Amino acid sequence: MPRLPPSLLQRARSISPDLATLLPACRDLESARNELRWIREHVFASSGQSQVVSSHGSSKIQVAAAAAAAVVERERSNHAREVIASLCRRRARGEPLQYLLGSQPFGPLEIQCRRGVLIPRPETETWAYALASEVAARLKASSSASAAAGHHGQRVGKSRRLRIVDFCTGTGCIPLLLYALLHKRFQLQVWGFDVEERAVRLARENLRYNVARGLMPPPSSSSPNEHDSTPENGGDVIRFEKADIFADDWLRSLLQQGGGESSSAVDVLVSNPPYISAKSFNRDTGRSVRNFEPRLALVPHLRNAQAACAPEDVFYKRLCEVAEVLQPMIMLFEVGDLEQATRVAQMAVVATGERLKDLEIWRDCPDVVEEEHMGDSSSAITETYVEGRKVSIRGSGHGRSVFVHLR
Amino acid sequence: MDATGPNLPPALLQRARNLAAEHASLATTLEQTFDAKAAKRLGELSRVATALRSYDEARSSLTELNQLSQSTDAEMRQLAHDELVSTHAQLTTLATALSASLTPRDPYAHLPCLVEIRPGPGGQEGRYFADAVAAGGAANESPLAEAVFEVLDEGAYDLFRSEAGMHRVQRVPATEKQGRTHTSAVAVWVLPSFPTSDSAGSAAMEADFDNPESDFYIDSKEVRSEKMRAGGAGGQHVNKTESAIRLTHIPTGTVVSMQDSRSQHRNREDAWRLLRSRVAAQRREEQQKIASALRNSVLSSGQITRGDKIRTYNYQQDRCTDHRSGVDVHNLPDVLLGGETLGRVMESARSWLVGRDIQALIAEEEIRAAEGEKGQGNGNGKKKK
Repeated sequence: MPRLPPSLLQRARSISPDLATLLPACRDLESARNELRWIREHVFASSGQSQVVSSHGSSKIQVAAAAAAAVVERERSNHAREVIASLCRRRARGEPLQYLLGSQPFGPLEIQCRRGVLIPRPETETWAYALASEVAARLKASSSASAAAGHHGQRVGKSRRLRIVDFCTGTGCIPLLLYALLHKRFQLQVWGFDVEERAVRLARENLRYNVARGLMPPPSSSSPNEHDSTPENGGDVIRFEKADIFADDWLRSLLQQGGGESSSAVDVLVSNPPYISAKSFNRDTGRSVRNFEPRLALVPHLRNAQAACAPEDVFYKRLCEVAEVLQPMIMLFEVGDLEQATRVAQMAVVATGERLKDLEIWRDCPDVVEEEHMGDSSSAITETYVEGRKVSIRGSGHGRSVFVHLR
Repeated sequence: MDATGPNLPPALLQRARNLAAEHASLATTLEQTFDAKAAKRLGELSRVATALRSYDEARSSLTELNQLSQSTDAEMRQLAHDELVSTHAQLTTLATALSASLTPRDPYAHLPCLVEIRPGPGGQEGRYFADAVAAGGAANESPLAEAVFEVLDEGAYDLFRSEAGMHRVQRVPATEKQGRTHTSAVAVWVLPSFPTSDSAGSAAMEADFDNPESDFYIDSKEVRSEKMRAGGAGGQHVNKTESAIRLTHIPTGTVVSMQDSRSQHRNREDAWRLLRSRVAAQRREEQQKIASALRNSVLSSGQITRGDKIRTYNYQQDRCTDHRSGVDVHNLPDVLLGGETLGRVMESARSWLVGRDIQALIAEEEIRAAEGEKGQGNGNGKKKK
């Protein structure tokens, strides 16, 4: 990392010592200012700043009470100042702001964040929005057959039943946001799986937290024992379970729960799996990512390595196998860059064969048209060929995800 | 003393009489059949009709009193004379009220507003002053780069719109070693703010941003949206805390960026909100420009644009001057704290604005009268807005 110019540090210090503390972690004054503001807002909101009691009368008791309140207030603000300074020091050592403040906004949701579970990224939020609108557009009428197979007669409003599965769910941010965006149109059954016990617990907590704050409507069932929630009782379901995607046991139970009434066990399969290579982890990741976020969620574990593909691609290989069993209509996998996107696209083309209807590579912002003059010539590429098939590359930014629509 | 009372330009009085006649005939029509459009027009006209009635009443009592003051009875003459003084004063107020009732109401008057405060040329000192303006005097550790805040009360736009323009400050900055007075400036923009869909109780037509006719309407295809990305690989590789959004409205070149919130969702919503308000304000300005061109050069001097200096705050003299109304007040600390003194200055600017509208109206009526002599006037020739 380049050294910060001393003049910049001096300027920050003249404004506030906390700002100077933050500067090495934030790199520029503007972001340091923003982070300091967010830290302050967080501390003041959680210390429950009270109003100083004003003394209307002149009775001694009231005056004494007001004086006592003023003392309490002063102590509280001294305390708050210390808390702010200590949070700034921890931030300066690289600790992610989201772990310090305990949350990250994600769409309309407030996702709780804790050590050991990957922090949701803005790129993920962006593709989740784009995916929700693709799902709404593409699965509207086309597959009403599979819905009608289970129960006859149209329901009012939410006519179609939709099953969504997310692997490597982490905080649960993807299933929760998709639920919030799609619950009005579909009757939803949403599963999130993660191999890490702490992630499953946090995801369940995020469901409760966001429902309790009215940030998303409550599903009718979220406990694992109530899997008999049928279309007839109108139930939306969200469930988070521990599962190792490379094992088979959970797959069988998923098939039993979801299958039976239609050809495919799920409609939408998504995943933001670990996708960074060991080399890239050491070279390209940010300091706070490398030192504070779980490596398990970033770099695929070697025990799952196989000869057929690069070590950083093993999850996609496995996801394609899982897809053959679950037969989703739509899949989306987050990836690290355009090269990985192309490799994943190739795997998907090979694995799905005749069932493939449409395949796209999405950049960071799939709905923003890239401009020519952005300097980065690679971002001007708008299509590529995979297994002799033309694949469009949509939007602007880095190659970020692979979108697959199946028959 | 002028025995006939204040002089209302005949063109204005004629216009008021025409509108009052329209009001009366509409009232008769509405007794028979209900018509939503006519009812709306009736509501608009009732302000004029009421003001004209009060004016006429005062006018006729003035005539009566004038006759009485010619009386041979000395006591009666004295009585009439006393009455004349107060009626005269009353008539002046009523004439102004009548003129004001004739001016077109700003179509956004009922809306809440966004106030944007930016330091003008003047560097750091301007920033400190912008800070003082925005915070009402509270000293912050670092001066503002810019501030945008929303006043949610309905009608806030009407209350604040006269504050738009350059606010000039003259003082000795804390950083000045030789004790020289510096002059710097702060630009204040006041933009109408449309109600959000969930708070749209009074969903007025012009505030409906899904309606292509509305000033707030923006075709999303005409907006370029950018995320200000940091370098690097993105995704899992980095953990950004910021999610700044920049929107560019291509036809007008209006650029808005927003990074206040940790939520990119919120930043995007806020950016769209500000963009809509700015574009609507520009469209409104454009319409005003067209209207003022119609009224010819008589009024061009009264047209306020963002660039004009509207007020000076002089610390050495403890004085605040509004350059439009010409009002001077002292007690600058109270002005900056938003006290009663500021209220007086703002009130004077609002009255000035109404006065300017009346002037415009008179000019317009005179032009119309002149044209009406050539060909028959085309009745209610005022275009909407």
